[in-house]
Amino acid sequence: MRIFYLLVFLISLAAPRLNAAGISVDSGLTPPLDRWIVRSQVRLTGREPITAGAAEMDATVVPLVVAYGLRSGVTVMLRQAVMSREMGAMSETGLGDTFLMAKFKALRINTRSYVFGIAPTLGLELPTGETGLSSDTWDLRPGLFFTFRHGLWDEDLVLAYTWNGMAGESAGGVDPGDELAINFAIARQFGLNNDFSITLAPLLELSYLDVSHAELGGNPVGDTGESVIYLSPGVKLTINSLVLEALWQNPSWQHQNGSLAERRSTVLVGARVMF
Amino acid sequence: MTSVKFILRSVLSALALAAMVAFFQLAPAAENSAEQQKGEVRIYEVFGMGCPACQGGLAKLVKKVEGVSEAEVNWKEQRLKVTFAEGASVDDELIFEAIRKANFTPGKRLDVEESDGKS
Repeated sequence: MRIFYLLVFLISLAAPRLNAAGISVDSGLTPPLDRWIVRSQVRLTGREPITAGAAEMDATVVPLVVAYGLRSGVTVMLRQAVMSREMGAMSETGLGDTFLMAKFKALRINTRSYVFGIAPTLGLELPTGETGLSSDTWDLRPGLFFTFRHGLWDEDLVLAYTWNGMAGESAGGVDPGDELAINFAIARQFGLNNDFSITLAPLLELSYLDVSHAELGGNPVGDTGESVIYLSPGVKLTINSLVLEALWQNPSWQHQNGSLAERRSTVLVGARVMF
Repeated sequence: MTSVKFILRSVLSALALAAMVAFFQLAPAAENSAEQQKGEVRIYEVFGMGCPACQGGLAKLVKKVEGVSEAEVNWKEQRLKVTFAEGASVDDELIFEAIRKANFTPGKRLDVEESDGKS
């Protein structure tokens, strides 16, 4: 039975997590008081086995994010994803874990020529997802976001650490590895009309993701833990308070421990509306 | 096959959501079409806006100030144009406070001529 749970845990490691999240330009700035942001994406991703005969994994993740400017310097956010995953003969569709986050304005400098913001975040992932799509643990995710805007250029840096398995227990008593994500994004806006109420912004993201190996009884679990660098071109179309975005997350370099399957490219298409 | 259907459903849902949102974004608001008695117009500098999406958040807060009839924002020109209700007397500080609540920084109040039609 323990081996079965361990197998379930290893499969759940292949579940697409939402770290190294794409299109994060502006994340270091807290939105105005009483501002609602509703955001949804379709992410198509997967893993390619490196051992002959192993099954590849295809996954679709559709997160719905609702954020609200509770105060001018505090934003609260709820994210709930629906996931579908196929791996060999196995197929699962259902709700993933619920993620709650608060973002705080630590520093905001607004000048005529540039804007600079620093926003720490604190997130908590609740093990509410369905079996096989949930981590089964409470995961704490502190983060630090920086944003710099000057003229029509935007730069954004996100540092996020995920303390997986802070509380609760994964299948088989495995302690999942923690995760470090560093994401740098740069974008340049081009006005599509005279008053710049419609802009098109090509963007480029560089992301580093490091996942520590899982542990069982203090010993590392094989085929867990990886490091990935993504180079991700994308585009963002902003029409007043509506944002349409697309990103191709390309794993330019990756290293997996043991025979953990390699990550494939992720295609991300999304929409965001603010009111 | 299940996955294909799921993807199609997801994409269609996302498109439907985007279409719905676009409709509400692009359709003129009913309140704007209502005939209102308009009074004084003031132009303010606002610093900190970085994209078109910033405009709506600021306009929403400024419109909540009593006596404000309309608020138009141009993020690129860093301008806020406020039209007050006829006879309304609104202190500039109330507008500055709304700008701060939007996480932006108020600059100086400009003469309408000084703004050079940039709002």
